Amino acid sequence: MPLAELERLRRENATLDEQVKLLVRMEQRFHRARTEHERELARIRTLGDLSLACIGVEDPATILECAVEVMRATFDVDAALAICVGDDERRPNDGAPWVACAPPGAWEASEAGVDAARRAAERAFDASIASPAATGEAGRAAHAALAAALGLEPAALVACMPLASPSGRFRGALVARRGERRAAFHRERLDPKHEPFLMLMRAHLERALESCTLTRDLRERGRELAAANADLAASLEELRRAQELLQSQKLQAIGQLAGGVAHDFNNLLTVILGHAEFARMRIPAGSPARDDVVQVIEAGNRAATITQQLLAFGRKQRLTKEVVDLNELASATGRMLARLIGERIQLKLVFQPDVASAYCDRGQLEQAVLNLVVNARDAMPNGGEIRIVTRAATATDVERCGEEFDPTRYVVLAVEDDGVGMPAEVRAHVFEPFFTTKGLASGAGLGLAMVYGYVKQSQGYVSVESEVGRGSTFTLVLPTERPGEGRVAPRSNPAPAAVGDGSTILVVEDDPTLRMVAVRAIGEAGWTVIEAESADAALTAVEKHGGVVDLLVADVVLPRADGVELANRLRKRWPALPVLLISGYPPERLEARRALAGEHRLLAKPFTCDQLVAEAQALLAEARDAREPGHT
Amino acid sequence: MVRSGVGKSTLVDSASAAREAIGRALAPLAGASPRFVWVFATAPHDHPAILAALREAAPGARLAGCSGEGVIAGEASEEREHALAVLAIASPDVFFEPFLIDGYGADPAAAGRALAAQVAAVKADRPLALFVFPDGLVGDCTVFLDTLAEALPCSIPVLGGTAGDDMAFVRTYQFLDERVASGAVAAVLVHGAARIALATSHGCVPIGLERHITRARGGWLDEIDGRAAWLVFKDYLDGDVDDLNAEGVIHLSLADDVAPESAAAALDDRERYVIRTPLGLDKERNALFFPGGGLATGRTVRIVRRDPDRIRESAERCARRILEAARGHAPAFVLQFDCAGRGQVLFGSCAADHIVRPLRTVLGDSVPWVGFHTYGEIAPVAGRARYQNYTVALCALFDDA
Repeated sequence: MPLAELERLRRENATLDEQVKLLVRMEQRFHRARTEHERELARIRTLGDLSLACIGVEDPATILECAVEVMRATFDVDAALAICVGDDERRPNDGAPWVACAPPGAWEASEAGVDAARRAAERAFDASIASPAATGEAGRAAHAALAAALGLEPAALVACMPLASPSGRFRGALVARRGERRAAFHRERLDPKHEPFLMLMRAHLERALESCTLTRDLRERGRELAAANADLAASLEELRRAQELLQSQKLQAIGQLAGGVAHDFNNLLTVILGHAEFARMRIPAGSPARDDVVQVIEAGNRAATITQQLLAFGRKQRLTKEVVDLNELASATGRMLARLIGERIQLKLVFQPDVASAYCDRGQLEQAVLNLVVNARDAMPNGGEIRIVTRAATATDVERCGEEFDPTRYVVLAVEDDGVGMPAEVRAHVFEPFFTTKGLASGAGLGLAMVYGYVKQSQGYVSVESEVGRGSTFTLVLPTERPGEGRVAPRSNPAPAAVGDGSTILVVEDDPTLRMVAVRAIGEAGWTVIEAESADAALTAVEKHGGVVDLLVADVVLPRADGVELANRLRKRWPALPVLLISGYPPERLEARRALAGEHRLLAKPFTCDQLVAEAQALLAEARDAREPGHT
Repeated sequence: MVRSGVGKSTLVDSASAAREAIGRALAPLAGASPRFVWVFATAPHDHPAILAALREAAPGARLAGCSGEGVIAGEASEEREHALAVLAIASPDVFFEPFLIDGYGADPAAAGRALAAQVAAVKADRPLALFVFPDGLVGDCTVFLDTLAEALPCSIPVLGGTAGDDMAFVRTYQFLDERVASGAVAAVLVHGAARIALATSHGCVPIGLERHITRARGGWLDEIDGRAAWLVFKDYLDGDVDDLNAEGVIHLSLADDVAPESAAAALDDRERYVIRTPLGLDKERNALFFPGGGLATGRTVRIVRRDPDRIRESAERCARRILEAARGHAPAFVLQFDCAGRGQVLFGSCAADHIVRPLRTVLGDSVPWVGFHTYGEIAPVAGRARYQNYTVALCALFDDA
């Protein structure tokens, strides 16, 4: 090969070699930049991780542990120590600082070691030094002094970062050391270029420690608030129960009053209606006086209805409990009510198909539904929808009723409307008798009182939910059929005894006017009457009469021995003696005296002469059938 | 049948770390007593405490190993201050004879002869491999290996790695049972009814022209092509570099052409070159120190740069070569001796993704796997065990023989 050619190749090789060197240097520059970039990212990630790890932390020690681990993992340091001397000036620690060290035990964890570090950090804090950025002669001197305080060579103290509280007081420090022997060049040495990172880390730590204090304050405050809230809730619950008790007692008192008044009224009404009947029978048809008497009778009947409602509210009406299919009852009642509520209001029946039957007085329940629907209708002057709902009772019903009961043993019949609703002050009085928002012309204020009294008397519960403009819901919670509580056996209806069949009836009533009405009605029906004002007088009269008594008609409440005791005494003589008790009190009172159930018939006051005669006829007929089976 | 289990711990307390690691390693042995335990630990650990705790946990087992810049266990590469990896082996047919030869630093040739004598004394019927772990900071490893090869009674593969510390280059440690030494060689002869497969790779790329060492002495390389060795290196370094700790230096090495001249043209880089890395600088002489010896005056070398992508590809090829030797069997265990310069320093925190997981993907994720990051790798190249750098030496044992 010619020399010129060799020289050319040599030059080309040299050029290529230079290009290779350049490429290799560029590659190194790229690698260095990439490494620095990755380290920068790692540091940023580290700070992020530190912040995340400190969220919601209450214990400063946890934060310190994170900090020393970050310091050790990020930089080529042998050990890192973090100290926190107290939350802040508001909540000083009890003197012992929180301390964390990485790796554990690497720093002299003795009192002297920690104290020395703390003192050094305080000096750094006072001198406003955050090594390793201790620059300048003064800074280097201070750094050397700090290292000496820690028993280290200046080069070994690679970080001494004081931490401040928000108010600028010394709070703690993060220090790190690196032994001379280490030269792990692939791990990052902590040097002045990292000052921005250290400052950021310092800010993160200070905020984390402050956040720690705030979190603890917040949690403590939260606990206090929760406790106060619980107290308040307990007080409110107590108040609510007291109000409910008060309301219940109030309704009970009103009920007792109403019941008592109704009882007296019943006596009076019986007399009034009785005498009016007598007068009507005596006044010829067509006489103006007869119309007057008829008006008296009708007024008396209306008054009797009112006293009946009062008795219902006072839970003193006579209930005939039976198993009631709520869906069937609501369907039947609904058909009747559809006409009552008018065309502008839709009546919707919302039934749970398999809802259990209630055990209650069917007639009274129908009346209650009627009252509620009428009430709902009146609450919807512009029309709307009324829903009669049946369903099983739930825990929510227990809560709404504010009483303790087992919901699995109850069923619900609710009446919902889209009407005007009620404000709280109305809702609070809605079940009180004579409380009405409709004006005197529209109602007597006894409809909802009757519902309340009826349900309570049926061992059920009532609740009302209502909001102005959003309608009302009245929920009747009724007991379901209990084991052993079957349907009420229908009473056979024997052929009534012939009026005036010669039977002798003993009438015992302490109220002379009432007794007079009864004696007259029975006498005018053709029976022989023995009358007496008390049990003793009755026994005397029976002795004097000497003959058989076929029927005892007695007031339940009599002076000394009552009607039941009298009946018992007479039955010792005539075991089959039929007894008709009359009373203005509810049957429960009689049942309490062991008298009524299955033994005696009860006629509630007020009664008309016709009702008394009809009851007497029926009892005499039953007695006759018992004596003479097959007689018709 | 060979049963083996790997255990790792990064606990700081050495005894606790040993208990944790051996506890994990013994679990897969299903109650069998381990015959031998490989032990690799980072330098800052309290090694006597580790060995004592291991002996307590596995009383009948022999122990051998060394300190490393980091440890490899399972799929993890742990290059941290405190890391420990153990591999416990129980087998009736495969035997492990550990040795500890003192005085390697002072007289590597004598150490080689002493080790060969002790190996010969074992009278193993089927020697499989001799693993050696010389001190990584002292001693001429090339002299040691050459002497050993000459003195061994038979030709057996010699491989392993030189012990390291945590890049402090202060002191390394070699282990035998409860003994901890420095400046020594720990070694393990494996023999018995099994097969061994070996592979190495470096992933370096030669750059520039062939060069010749024109002056070298005692590991110090004074001149290349008549020019100061450090100045030759500096031509390839970016910026004003004045020490070996500069990041650029770790990318630059020498490739020692070890192939016979007649065969050189037919060999690829892996078979032709061993990589050598300078670990010392004499700024007055501009001379570079290459531990391990062997770079004598007159040798042909090339400057090489490391290529991270090629490292991974090359390692995968290395694993596939072992797979080819597997004959369909899974290795009973794998030992990996990987350069300290190929871990975190090159790949950062995800080093294991580049140097361990690709190998395990080829050979099996569940294969018991242990090793350490060395200061120099030892494996056969061009027919002889050679000291190398920036290399991985991989060894798999199959008990199907």
